[in-house]
Amino acid sequence: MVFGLVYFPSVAFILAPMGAEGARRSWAFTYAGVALLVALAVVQPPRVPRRLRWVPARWWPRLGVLALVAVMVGNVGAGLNDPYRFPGPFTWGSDTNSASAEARTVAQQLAITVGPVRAVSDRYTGLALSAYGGVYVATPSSGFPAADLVQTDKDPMPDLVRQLEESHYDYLVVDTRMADAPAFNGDNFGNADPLPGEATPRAFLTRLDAVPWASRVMATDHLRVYRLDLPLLGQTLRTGP
Amino acid sequence: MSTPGPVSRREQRETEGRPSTGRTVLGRALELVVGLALVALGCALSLTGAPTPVRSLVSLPLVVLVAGRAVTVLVLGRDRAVLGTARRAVVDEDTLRLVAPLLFGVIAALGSILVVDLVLRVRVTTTSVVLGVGVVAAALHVAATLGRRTPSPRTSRRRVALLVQGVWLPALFTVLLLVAATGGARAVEAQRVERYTQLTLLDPGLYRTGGLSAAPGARVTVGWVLRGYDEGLADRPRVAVTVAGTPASGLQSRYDAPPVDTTEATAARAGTVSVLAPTTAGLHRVALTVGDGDGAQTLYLVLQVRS
Repeated sequence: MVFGLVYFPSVAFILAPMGAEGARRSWAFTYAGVALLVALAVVQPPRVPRRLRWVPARWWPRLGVLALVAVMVGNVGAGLNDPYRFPGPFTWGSDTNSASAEARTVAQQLAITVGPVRAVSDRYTGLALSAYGGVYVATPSSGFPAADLVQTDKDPMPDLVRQLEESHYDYLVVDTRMADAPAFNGDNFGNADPLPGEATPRAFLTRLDAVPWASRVMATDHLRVYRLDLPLLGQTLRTGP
Repeated sequence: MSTPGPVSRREQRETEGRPSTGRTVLGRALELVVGLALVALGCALSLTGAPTPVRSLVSLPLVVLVAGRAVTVLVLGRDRAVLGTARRAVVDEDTLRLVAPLLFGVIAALGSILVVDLVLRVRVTTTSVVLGVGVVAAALHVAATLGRRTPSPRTSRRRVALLVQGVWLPALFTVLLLVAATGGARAVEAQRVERYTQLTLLDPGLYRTGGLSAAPGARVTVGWVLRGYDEGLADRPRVAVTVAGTPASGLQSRYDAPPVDTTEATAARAGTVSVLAPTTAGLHRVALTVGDGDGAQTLYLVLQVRS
């Protein structure tokens, strides 16, 4: 029960971006202690205050059940959005409804062909790549702007090229549905996304088929896997035979 | 000098219902064996690689519930009268005893997983979790069974009636409600069927090098695999190649048997295509298109023509 008390200060941490993740994950453990606290209150209910004596005694259990339902449903509703809670049509950029069999089979095929490689990808496709292909997906940040490969129309800067080569990020996986609509969750590459709240311009994606440093080695209706050959950066492709 | 009074009807009933010492020992032994057998069954199902639904719905619940029941007995005692009868409670002890094994089981499981990960430094997997919880459950069950001091008195007919009316009927109603809610949710769930094709290279070496290389005018060969996922494929899908934006010269195409697929593709075709490299040195974009209509896919490779 003492352990359950940890739950209450942890609630405050969800207001801070750095603490939200840890606070939410701690609830998987502290809820057991909270449950014991609730059980104690149920088994040994407190005396009804004088001002509430007008409520018939037989109503208290029903009010308790109503409060419990409100807490259970409300907790989920406050923490998780609709696409997370309910099954539904494909929704780009949602936590669960942007999962697709297409991404799964691409991840599996990539793993079969080249094994557990390192790749740059959006955070939704990246989940499938990690889970089904064992792919180590890059986490873009301000110091490692890997999202620029997709979210800009410029070649990567030399510092990014160096980091990608040194860390052996040899593949880029793109889901073209990121050009159809903005991500439901607001971004495609986390906090380091240069285009938060915006759909990726389609020209940024088609451009990848015209640069010498990327070869499209796998394609499906919506996904494209590019092999990066960054030493070719700066060279030009010939336009005639 | 006091003389013993007449035995009350209740005491007489309890004495008649109380098992003999021999029966108690036998009962405990049976209880011990059954509990350990359930734990062993849960662990065995996990070790033998049973399907995920079996492991999720049978294996883990078995070990968790055995652990939870054991902790409940250790904490609350086995007899109902342990908590007394003068309690002022909204929910009676029977309800508490119904819920406590679940809660204690989950607590025991979480603690076991922490021990497995932080103390034993064993990687947390579905199997290690079940085995860890199983060992703890077995130890708790042995302690709860052998450490008990008194056998339980039998319940009266009135108590059974109260148990059915106050606990089992609401529990049954709740289970039916949950089953109905789950069935309703499944009924309205949108089933997504994805139909698509996937084109990839046959030669893994091309993935690693990232491009093609050839002498001017030499023949360049590329193997391809086209897979359909709930999407039909022609027996001989159309193959087209352009080099630097113009149709490739000397195109030769061949169809082969597709490699074994493990990604649940419903159809697969494979083949090899070869074209003549340009005569001018430099980097050239090669576009390989395979398939018909909406199912066609294109790969874009870089061909380096050496001087």
